[in-house]
This record gives sequence, C-alpha cells and structure tokens, in this order.
Amino acid sequence: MNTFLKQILIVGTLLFFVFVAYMVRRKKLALKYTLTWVGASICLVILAVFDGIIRPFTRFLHIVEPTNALFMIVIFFILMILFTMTVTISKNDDAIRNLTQELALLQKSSDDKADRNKSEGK
Amino acid sequence: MCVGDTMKVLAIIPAYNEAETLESVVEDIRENAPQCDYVIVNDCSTDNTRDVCRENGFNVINLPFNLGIGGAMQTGYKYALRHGYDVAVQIDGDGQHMAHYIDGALEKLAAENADLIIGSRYIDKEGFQSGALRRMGIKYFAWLIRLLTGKRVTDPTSGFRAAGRGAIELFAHHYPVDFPEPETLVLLARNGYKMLEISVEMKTRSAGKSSITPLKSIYYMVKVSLSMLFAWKEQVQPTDAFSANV
Repeated sequence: MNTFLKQILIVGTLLFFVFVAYMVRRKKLALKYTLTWVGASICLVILAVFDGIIRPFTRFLHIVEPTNALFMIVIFFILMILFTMTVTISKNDDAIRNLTQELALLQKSSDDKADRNKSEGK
Repeated sequence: MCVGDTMKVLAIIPAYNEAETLESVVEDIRENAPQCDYVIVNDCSTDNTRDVCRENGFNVINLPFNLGIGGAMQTGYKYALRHGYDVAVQIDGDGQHMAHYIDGALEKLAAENADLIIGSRYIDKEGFQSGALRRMGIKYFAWLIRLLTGKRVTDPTSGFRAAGRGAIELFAHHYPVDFPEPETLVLLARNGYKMLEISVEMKTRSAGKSSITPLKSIYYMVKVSLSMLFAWKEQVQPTDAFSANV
C-alpha cells in the first residue's frame, strides 16, 4: 500500500471517528448503534497503519493488491452494519404496529366511556 | 333457534377507503346476522370512511396509521379477545361477503368443534369465481397447503372466515402483516388447530379496488410462498398465545 493512500485512510478514518463521537454527544446517534461503526473504524486504522497484518490474508486469498483486501474487509463491515440495521428496522416495525393497535384500542375504549357517560347524564 | 344465541359473536370489518360500501355491509349484518356484534377497523382511510362511521354511529376503531390488512385485522382480533367474544367472523368492507352465511359458519364451528371455518367459493362454484389467473394462483396456494400440511382447502385466499376462541387468541398474538390468509392456514394446521370449509357465494366488489394489482401478483406469490414455508416450521407457544398482555 503506498504511503499517500495510507495517510488519507488514517486521516479520513480519524475524522470519521471524531464525527461519530460528536454525534453521540449531541444525542443524535444512539450509543448502541455506534459500536459497529467505531469497531469498523478502529480496524481500518489498525490495518492502514500496520498493513503487514493483512499480507498473509492477501496471500491466502490470492489477492494481488493489499488495498483490495482492505476494501474487502471494509465491505464485510458495511454488510454487517446494514444487516444489523435491517434487524433493527424489523423490530421497530413490530413495535410500531403494536403501538398503533394499542393506541387505537385505547382511543376506542375511552370514546366508548365518554359516550356512556353522556347517555347516562341525560 | 340458532347457535349464535349462546355464543358471543363479533364480525370484524377491516376497511380501507370503503366509504361507499360500508353502510350496506353493516346493514347486511344487522339484517341477516342480528346475533352478531360488529366492529369496523378503519385502517387510516384517505376517503371519508371515518365521517361515514361517525355520522351513522357505527362501532369503529380508527387506526392512527395505515397498517395494511394484516395489522387492521389483528386489531379486530385483539378487540375480540379483550371483549370476551367466543367467535370472530371476518367480513370484508367492500361488500363481497354476505352476512347470511354467518349462521352456517357458526353452526359448523360449534357442531364440529372447529377452530376456523373458511367460506369457500369453490365447493359449489356459485357466485363470483374470480378471473382465470387469480384462480390459478388460488389453486397453487391450495396445492402448497396440501403439500405442507396434508389438509385440503379449496379457497385458501378467502377473506370470509369464522375463528373460534383458540384461533382468536392465536391471531391476537400473531397475525401476518400482509396477504395473511394462506399463511395463517398453514400456521393453524401445523399447530393442530382444526379448520373446515363451508360453501359460500361471493359478490364481485361493488366499489373500491382489490389490494392485489397485476404488477404486485408475482411479488405476492413469492412472498406468500416463502411465508408459508416459514409458517410450516413455526411452533406457537401456548404460553405466548395465552399470555395476558396480548
């Protein structure tokens, strides 16, 4: 990996890391969802600094350029993050459906009570 | 003397933009199935369904968001469970089902001690029979249900169904989100619930649109097939289904 690409990767990842921390502090990002992002950026920095680490991995998979191996690892992280997000969305779907139903049923029973009181008051 | 006299029966009418037909559907139930209570589940309609219900003083639950047919129907089942109904009958808000078949469904449900009665268009093949393509799809679902459960159902997509107490409890806890009918049949059959069919006639919808357009039908087939396969392996935990917080 050439030094220039290395420097860009390191600086870019560190900036991203700072941005994630900032978003968490501003409460715009829930801490539990940042862990995968933080984990991914730490890995990326380590791999960029010590690019010797991925060399055996590159050789094992017959990848010529270590950069490509790095990209592969990054894509793996992105897939993981996307998948956990889909799981989260599915959970939220379920929760929202249940809440909507509960809200409607609650509204219904309070309306019914109001109607009953009205007719008794007459 | 009919069976409905001793049972508490609720007709669940899911309605999405059915303002034109809703009055006649409720009228039909009042006339031809007077032993039935009914509840309309207004799935956040964009027409004046809500106003029609208020003006007529209908018993209605208004959903604050559009949940689709599955979520709307499940709301009805939760209502049925909490108000202690013995039987819940599904009637479409578009007027394609006829309330005078309710009696027969209730009788069969009680006599055979069944959990679900399905109103089938294809036993006596009377009334509206759907187009050829639609029928092919229905045949395919019937075949898949038979393959997965060994049960013979002639009209797996029928929306005219009567559910006993056990099925009400199950549906209040677990109901598929969209295109729910075939999937629920697999779920019921695989978990030992008893389901039977009666012959009914259906009308072609007098207004409104079917939820299934030609474009969606491929997606529909694939998705329902997949969900049926998953339902095949799904074990309903009695502790879940009967928990108080359904």
